[in-house]
Amino acid sequence: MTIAIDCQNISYSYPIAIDNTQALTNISVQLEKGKFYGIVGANGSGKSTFCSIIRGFIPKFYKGTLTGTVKINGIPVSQLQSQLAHLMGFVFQNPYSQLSGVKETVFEEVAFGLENFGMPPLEIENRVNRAMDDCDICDLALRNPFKLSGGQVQRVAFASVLVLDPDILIIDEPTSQLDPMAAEKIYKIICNLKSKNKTILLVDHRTDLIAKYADEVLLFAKGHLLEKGTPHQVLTNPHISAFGVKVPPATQLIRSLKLSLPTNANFPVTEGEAVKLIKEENKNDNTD
Amino acid sequence: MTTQIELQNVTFQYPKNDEPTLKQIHLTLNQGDQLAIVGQNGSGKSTLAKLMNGLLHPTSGSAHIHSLDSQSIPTAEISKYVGYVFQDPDEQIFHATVAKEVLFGLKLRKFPKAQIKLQLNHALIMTGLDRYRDMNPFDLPPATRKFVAIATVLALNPDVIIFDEPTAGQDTFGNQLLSKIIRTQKKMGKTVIVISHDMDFVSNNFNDILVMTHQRILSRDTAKAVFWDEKLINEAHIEQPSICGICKHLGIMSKPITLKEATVAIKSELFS
Repeated sequence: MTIAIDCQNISYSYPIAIDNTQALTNISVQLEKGKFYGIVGANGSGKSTFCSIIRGFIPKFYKGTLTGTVKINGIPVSQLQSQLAHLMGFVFQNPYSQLSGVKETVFEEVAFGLENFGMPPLEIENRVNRAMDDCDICDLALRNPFKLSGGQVQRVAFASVLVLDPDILIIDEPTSQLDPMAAEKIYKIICNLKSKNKTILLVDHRTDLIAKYADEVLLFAKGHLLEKGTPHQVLTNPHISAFGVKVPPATQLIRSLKLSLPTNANFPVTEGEAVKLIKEENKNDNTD
Repeated sequence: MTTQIELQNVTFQYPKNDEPTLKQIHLTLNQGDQLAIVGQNGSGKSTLAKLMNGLLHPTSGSAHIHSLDSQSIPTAEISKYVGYVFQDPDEQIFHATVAKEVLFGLKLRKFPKAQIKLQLNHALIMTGLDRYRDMNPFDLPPATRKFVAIATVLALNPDVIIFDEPTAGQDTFGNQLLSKIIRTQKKMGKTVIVISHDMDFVSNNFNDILVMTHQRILSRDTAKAVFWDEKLINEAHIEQPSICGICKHLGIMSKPITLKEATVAIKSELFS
């Protein structure tokens, strides 16, 4: 087991915070290389702040008071400087924040990061084409990024980070404006990255997709890391809706049916698990 | 029943584009209609919404709002009847405090002072923003900022409200608040149009669904008819609400839409 991200005792308050209220309080967590972590919690619970600290935006751009340490592959973030851009990709919550603002086509926008890395043009072209293909935006290649629909911009933003092929990807609500099929496609791309031993942190309110694809889930509430565990451990906690997190519909249905589960069974969090369990119960019911 | 919005054979093309964004759109909305618009990214949902409030005008065909041709009346006049909450709240927010932002439209309307105060407070309470009234909207998280945009529109009390992807980025508290706002508008007899990618939210709050794909309206039907039509769902790049998906795999025949319906259906069809 290799630790990709190691956070020790992180606390942080934003510069404008009233009475120095902490956005994050005493977060210690180790995240393994090659795993897909889903981050859930209410709005304002600290999810995006946590991501910004790992990427070093805090304290580089946002001042305020930060204590504790973050190490990436064993090296403190503060010492990594420009290497961070190669090591870690960051997809912003607002896709318009991702756009360079200086490129007039989607193709050039997606190529922008690689150009800055000084990569040979032919390789840039290959990689950009592949990233655009993965994100289903080839037909937008010559369009102006600022003249696209919200969901299209979101896919361009994702492609412009994917193309950099970083070891660690931090993705803040990449599916909020995507149609359901495009949203699931993003998760499939992420699973493919996982098979290449990439580490992924993804913030999303879609607990159904997180349940289906993530290895582990981090639950934030009021600046605290409340839980870390498998989707089963975290998402079947009866209290998560009190923290603004949606109970996966499959879990809601099984609860609503009041089936008596075998004691050793995992409580379903995905559609597939719910279907399997109901079918088994149905079989038992009919043979009684 | 009063017709609020009528689009007849509307085609729309943005000036510098090679192709139309909308083709041959026919749509009638009556007072009290509660419509959800679903469909894939880039299918023309937001453009359709902007034709309903006069921000855009048809390239060909006609758009009537309150029986008036949208081309013949100023957009400011239309905004008295049709309120529009932008997909990106930052496109409509520019004041230093939440209260001032909501006041802006009310002052332009030149309502009496007492009425302004009343409608301001009502809008802030309905959107849960009362405690943030003196804060700068840009110090609030994006999902809360969306409610600032919603409050500015609710405060003006229009007959028709269009919400463009209000569910994007919302947690369960946000979604519950949205449901409540929509229910309240329904009780007041308002016409509500919501664009959303959250099929669970749509199926729990709407029974009149408009499906768009490739610049056209593919279907307008009940939630049950839309979400159990596999061909339609695939063509439109949407998905069944999760509950329907589970029921489909279980072979449930009665086509439930909500959690409650599914619970009853599974119990009666499989465990009776």
